[in-house]
This record gives sequence, structure tokens and C-alpha cells, in this order.
Amino acid sequence: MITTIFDKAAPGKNATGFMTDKQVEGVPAGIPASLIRDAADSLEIPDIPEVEIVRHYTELSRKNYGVDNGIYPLGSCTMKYNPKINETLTNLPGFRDIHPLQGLQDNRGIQGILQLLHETSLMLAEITGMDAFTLQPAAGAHGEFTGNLIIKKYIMMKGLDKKKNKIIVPDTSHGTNPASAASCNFEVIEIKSNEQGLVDLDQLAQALAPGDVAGIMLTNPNTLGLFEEEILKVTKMVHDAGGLCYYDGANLNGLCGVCRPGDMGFDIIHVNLHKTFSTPHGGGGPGAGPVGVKAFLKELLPGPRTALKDGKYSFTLPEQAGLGSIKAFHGNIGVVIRAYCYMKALGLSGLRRGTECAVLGANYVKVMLKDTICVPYQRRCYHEFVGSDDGFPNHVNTEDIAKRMLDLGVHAPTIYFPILVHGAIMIEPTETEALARLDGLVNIIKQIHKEAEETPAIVKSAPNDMPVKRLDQVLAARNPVLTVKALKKMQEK
Amino acid sequence: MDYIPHAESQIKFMMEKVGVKRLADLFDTIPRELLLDDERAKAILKSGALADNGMTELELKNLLAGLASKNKAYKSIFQGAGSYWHYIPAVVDYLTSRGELWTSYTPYQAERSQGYLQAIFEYQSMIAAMTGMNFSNASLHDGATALVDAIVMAKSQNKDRDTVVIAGKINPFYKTVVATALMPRDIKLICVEPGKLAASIDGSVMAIIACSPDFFGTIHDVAAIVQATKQKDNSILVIQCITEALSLAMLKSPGAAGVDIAVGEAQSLGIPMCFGGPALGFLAVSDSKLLHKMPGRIVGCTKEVAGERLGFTLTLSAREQHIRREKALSNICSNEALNMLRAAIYMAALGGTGLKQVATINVKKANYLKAKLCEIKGFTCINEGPTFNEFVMKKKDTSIQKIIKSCESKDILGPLDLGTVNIEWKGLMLFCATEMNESKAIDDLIASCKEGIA
Repeated sequence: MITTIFDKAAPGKNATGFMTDKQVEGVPAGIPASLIRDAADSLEIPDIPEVEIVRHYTELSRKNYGVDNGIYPLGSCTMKYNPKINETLTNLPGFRDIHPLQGLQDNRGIQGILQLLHETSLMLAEITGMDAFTLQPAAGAHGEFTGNLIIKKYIMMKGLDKKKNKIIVPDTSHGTNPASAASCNFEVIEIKSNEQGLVDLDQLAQALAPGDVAGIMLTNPNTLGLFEEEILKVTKMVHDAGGLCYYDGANLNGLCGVCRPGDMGFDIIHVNLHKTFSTPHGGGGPGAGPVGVKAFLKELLPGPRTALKDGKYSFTLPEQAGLGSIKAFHGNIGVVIRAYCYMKALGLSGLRRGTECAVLGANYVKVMLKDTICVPYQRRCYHEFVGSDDGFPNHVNTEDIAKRMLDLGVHAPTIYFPILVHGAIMIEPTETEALARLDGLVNIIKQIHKEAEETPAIVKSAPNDMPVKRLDQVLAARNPVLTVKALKKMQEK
Repeated sequence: MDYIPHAESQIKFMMEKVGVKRLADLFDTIPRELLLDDERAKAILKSGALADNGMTELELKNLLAGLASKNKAYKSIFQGAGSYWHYIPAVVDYLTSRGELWTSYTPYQAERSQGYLQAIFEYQSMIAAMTGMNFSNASLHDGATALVDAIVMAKSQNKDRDTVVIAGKINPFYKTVVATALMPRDIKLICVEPGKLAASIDGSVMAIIACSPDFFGTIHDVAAIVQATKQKDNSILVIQCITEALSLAMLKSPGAAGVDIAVGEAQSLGIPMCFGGPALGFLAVSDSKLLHKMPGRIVGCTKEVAGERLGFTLTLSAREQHIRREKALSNICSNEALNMLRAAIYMAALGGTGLKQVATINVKKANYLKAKLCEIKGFTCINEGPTFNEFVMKKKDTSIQKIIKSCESKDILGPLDLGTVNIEWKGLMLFCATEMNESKAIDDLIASCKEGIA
């Protein structure tokens, strides 16, 4: 039996008190009854006393796990510690309570936030080696979409959009890459990785040969945690074929402050502020995915950009039409403020130190697990590495391992991705996990390996210490129960 | 400063295990010419925005406090236009700051994320109640991107059609986003007054967007728009776009009006304006065929595989990019989860009764203000129907900036000068009143409007 917030109802009691206002007593609403909710259309949200709301969500939080609870080695998600001062500062009234359209005409009353946005763009440009940024995209995939729009617009302006209608992605790419390209009406070509787990230059040459490629999307380090060693050749080949190179910044934590995508030949990039720059993941968002470009694409960035002239900051629109806008207002400003704090607190040397420790931590865990987890691509790993369930006895598989990790008190890694590794286990510890935490993770995985040998049932039946055991995904999808109303109906049956 | 927990001796220990002498050796598969050595690293810091060294927590606090003080947080705000100034109950900040929720990520591991999954499930239930629809997703980026997603859904239902008709004044910021996002897709946008809708419907139309309340604050008869559309062509989808989610508590629900997709912005439900973001896009449908076309995360309730207990899990993922890759209808991955949680707690904190009361106070405050402004010579309200918490006044002369300046001297953010948004709207002002505008502030605003013409 599940108790939901709807079960805590006490009609006539709520957490805020019910408002009245003398000034408007007797003022008519002036809306005809036909446009108002009637009895058949009543608002079915219960009144709930404050104490019950607090206990309900406190109880829910106890059934959840965040970075504040312990290590969260979810590969490609960079679950690093989120500094608390950044929360305090983002909630200053001078940031939190300002309207997006104030100062629209004269930029007055928003000089502080404009300076912050302006400096954020400059810092990101210097860190990544790009020339200009838009802070408007709300997430990584939203940035990818923006980047593909820029590619589309660029080839349209050259009159080549009928001819160049393909985007290349490697088979190790995040699912968002092909989905973003497709949402800009590009056809997606997937190329296979070579034996080292890197972009196969022959495959790339073949894909480029027909001359219909508009661009390539790559992460570096790639999703196997490996640096694309031939990256300069890759970007040159794409450029020579008249295409643009897009950098998916999901894995920037593997090289931030050490080298720059701009120097590798990328023309467009996005950066996930919620990953590399430590803003809290919030249970799935909000994030932010600023997009940076080289100078020749500057005018195609969407949204207004900040400028500084005679000591005054302003919003300016691109000289030409630009792309337009990809979000109602200026972007996920609250997220940008936190990332600004992080960059200012660390400085370039601190960012570099963070990357070094992230890479050190991942390599340390990989070395300590060398007799436990089989890692099919044996090159230097960066911020993450990808193992496989191949070496686990008694057919214990990746899902079993992940579920058993939950029982043993840590979050699971990313699993079954990338698909070219059988039973992939993608581990990204991040730089903010102390040595004892890394050793704890190592010992848990070693213990699971031992259990797989000696008492496999305990692993295959995991989790056993969570609020629920493994859930029936097939049933969930075949018979969707998506609201409390539907749940009640199901329980009545 | 940094947030790395290792003592130097621990770093040395790990380096030994890994087999490197210097940390720089970890990057031995990067071509040398790409590496930032100390000298090159310093050379890239051109603007001065990023320093080589960081700062202490106190220095950071002083820096940010200084920047925040250069922004004006007004005592009273009379602008809306898609971002609204509403009261946020204390429990919203208190509960959403719990680290187990705030520092988690997408609940991929259902058994360890039952708390967040249940919160999403309850949010979906509340949005279903607010919109009068059957199914809601777990959030999209904002109202504008959600509207784009709704149009893409409509296109997937009507593949051979290419026209979207917008009825009512669409928020111009949304319109730009829609035009930008649909640029590669060859979809045409046409804007008409709701009364002239029938005449603009032909075989190329795949969707009607009914904006209500619209950008000027006018409430339209959405049921009539649905009827007029469906009578002509039943396969056209009607999408209702709502930029002020609080209106849902009071006005006839999209579900009752018979729309196919209810979509919009729920920033009003417990989310600070924060210069326009992060916000909260919502999207709800009633038809189960459309459910399978809906973008974003969806949480469902199911049973244990080997047990009888119920639990929550992300479901219907066959729609999503991580499974379908280029065949997915949407690329969304990270969404606006924490704002979804804020909205759920906000709706719980006000309750159905409180939501209706706040909505009513908004309408009445706006009506009071509207009536007082109409008494001023030269002011005319141009809304042709009833309004929610926004309305548009026309002024004969061009003293709008004078009014805004006068407001500012009283610490009030006055109306939005619509001429700065669209040249065709010169001489128009968009006013918004909410429960936050105290009687005195409203009277001060009225006085400023009078001064403006004096």
C-alpha cells in the first residue's frame, strides 16, 4: 500500500493560510461562468496541513540518494560535490527576485547580473578556446540542438543545405547526439570505433567521401573515457570535406584546464555547467548548456549577447538576423550564477587541479579493480573508465552488480552504455571523492565479485535492503499507471 | 580554493598505485601541442574575468554580494509577460534544499530513488488535476520549449501537413523560440484572431495553438475554438498554451475545453523569477496514443518482479533518446526536475482551496487596477474579453517612459512598454497584478500613471 500526498488531505487546512484582501473586496472577477471551472471540472488538489507536507517530503528524501549522501559514480554525469556557498549566493534577492524584462530598454537595474553573464561567457571562452558564447540553452541536449541549428543555418547561408544533410556520430556517442541532429532534420550516420575504442579514420574518410556531411559530433574524452588521440586529424578531415566539428562537452571534466576543445579544431561546443562546473543536478535538472563558437559563427548564436562599453554592460542583438532564440528568456540564470561562483572560487589552476584529481581517481579505481573487472579498452583512462561484466562468475550480470551496489550503500555506475562494451559498467568517481570513499567503492565491487562466486543468489536477488525490490518494467510500460487517480483505480481492482 | 578532499600524501599514494611520477603524466595520450603548460595556461587568461588563482569563500561572498547589489530588486513589480512575481511558501525552499533530493540525478536506479520518483508521480497527478488532462510528463525546459515539443507531437500525428495556426496573441518570446526551433522543419506559422479562426483552416493545418490567457491577458473561449476546429477537421490537434499556470486553478480546464495538448509555463508555482530562469515547462495530454508521443521523463507505478509491493519507476522510455537515438521524437535528457519538485510542494502547500483563492485575488487585483486606470483621461483598456492577472492599456501620447520612471522613483517596476518588444505595439502598456502587490503599491502605481500624463 502506498501513501501519497493526496492521502494527507484535511479540507480547509493548508500551509500558507488563506488570503483575503480588503482593497479588492467586492471587486467582481468579471469572467463569465462558461469560462470558469464548474462542478464537473473541479480542481482535485487536496488541502494539506503544513506539518504533514514537511513530513511527507522529508520521508521521500529519506528514500533518495544524492552526492551529499556518498559516492555517486554515475559515468558521464560528473556527480561531483556541490559547494553550499553557491546556493546561498544564488538566493540573494538581487539575483532571485529580478524580472527578466526589467532594464529591457536601458539596461539599468541589471548591471550586476549582466556583468556576471558577460564574465561567465569570457571565462568559458578562455577555458574552452572558443571565441563567443550564448548562455541561453537549458541543458546539454538543448545545447546540442542549438549547435545543430547553427550548423543548419551556416550551410543554408552557403546555399548547401540541400546537399549537406548528414551528421556523423560515433557509435560511442550519447543518445542525445543523434536525437539532436535528427531534430534539426539531419540524417545521422553512425561510424564504428576502431580496436582501440577511438574514431576509425578509414570509416570517417568513407563517411565523408560523398560530400554530403554537414558536420560531426564528438565527445573527448569519449564515452569509453579515452582521449581521441587523432583528434587533430579528425577535425581536419571534416573541415577539408566542408563540414563543421561539434564538441559535446559532457566529458569536459576529463580535460578542463589541461587542454581545450577550441585548440583541437572544434567549431561549436556546449558545456554542461551542472557537470564540470558543479551545479547541483536537482534530481534530473535544471542544468545549463551554454554554446560556444569560433569567431566565424559568432553572428549565428541565438539570443541576445552581453557587451561592455564605457564601463556599462548591455544586451545586444546580433548584427545580422542571427538564429533567433531558443528559450523564452536569457537562460537558466540560477544555474549560471552557481557555475560563475565555482569558476571564480577555483581559478584556472583550481580547475586544472580538479581535472587532475578526477583523472587520478578514475585511474586509481581502475588499477585497484584490475583483477576484478575486465576493462576491454586498455588505454589511459581520463575522468571515467568502462568495464564489463564478462569476468563475473555464475552469470552475474551488470544489472545484478548495480543493484547489489545499492544494498551496499553507494549509488550504481552508469550501466549498459556505451553499447559497444558488453554489459558496460561506466565508473566516474570525480575529484571530490576522498581516498577512503574510492577504497570503499573498490571494496564493494570486490565483495560483489566474491559473492558472485560464493553466494550468487544474494547478488542476483539484489537489492534486498531498499524500500522495494526490482520493479516490473514491462508491466509499468504495458499498463501505464501515471497518476494517483489511476493508482487508486488499480488498487480498487 | 577548491573542493578536493585529498591530502598531498594521499595524492602521492594514488600516483604510486597508478604508476605516474607527476600528475601531468596522466595526460600522456594527449598530443603535446594541445597541452596547456604553465606558460600557455597564463597566456589564455586575456580578459581578466578568470584568474589563475581562485578565491576564498569570504572573498567570493563579497564579490557576489557586490554584483547582486547592482541589480534592482523592486519593492513591487507590475510586469509579467511570461515571468510572474508570486509568493513562495517557506516550505518550498526548506524542503527542496534537502541534499538527498537536490544533489541526486535522474532516478535511473528506481529502488534507490523511490523518494524522487514518488514526488514526480505526485507532480504528474497535480498537473493532471490542474489541466484536467489524464497524463503529464516530469517537466520540460520552459513554456516556450514545451510549446515547440507540442508542435513536434502534432507534426508526428499529421506528417503530411505543414501549417500551425496560432489563435490569440502569442507571447512574442515564445513565438521567436518556436520559429527558431522549427526553422529546419519547414513548418509554417500563421497568427489569427480567435474569431477568424474557421476561415484560416484548410487541409494543410496540423495544429491550432489557442493562447489563453494570451499575451495581452485575455481569456478566450477555448472550448469554442476546439469546437470550431474539430467541426472542420477532426484530425487537427488543438494545443492550449498557458504562460500563467496559476490561471488553471480558476479557469475552465484545458481538459474540460477538449484540447488535445495542454502546454505551458509553471514558473508561477513556487519558482523565483531569477531573471527568467530556470523555469518549468509542463505538458499534458489525455489521449493514450498521444501519451506515447509525449517527450520527457514519465514516472509510473508498478509491482515488484518477485513480490507484491508497489513502487515507482521511469517508464515508457522507448520514446526517449537513450533508447531510440535518432528515431526519438525529442532529444531531452536533463529537464527541470528540481523546479518540478518546487511546483509540487507549492501546490501541496496552497492546496486546492488556496490555489483558487490566490487565482481569484490575482484577477480582482488586476480588475481593480484596470478600473482605476480606465478612469484616467487618455487611458483605454484594449482587451476585448475578460482578463486574468494581466491587461493592456493604450495611451494617446508617448509618455509611457515618464510613467515608468515615476514608478521607479517609488521603488516600483512599472508596466512593460510593449513598444520596446514590438514596434507595432507602440503606445501600449502591459500591466500585471498579483497577490504580491500590496494596496499601497497599487495606489502608488495609479498615482504614477496620473503623473505621467500631467
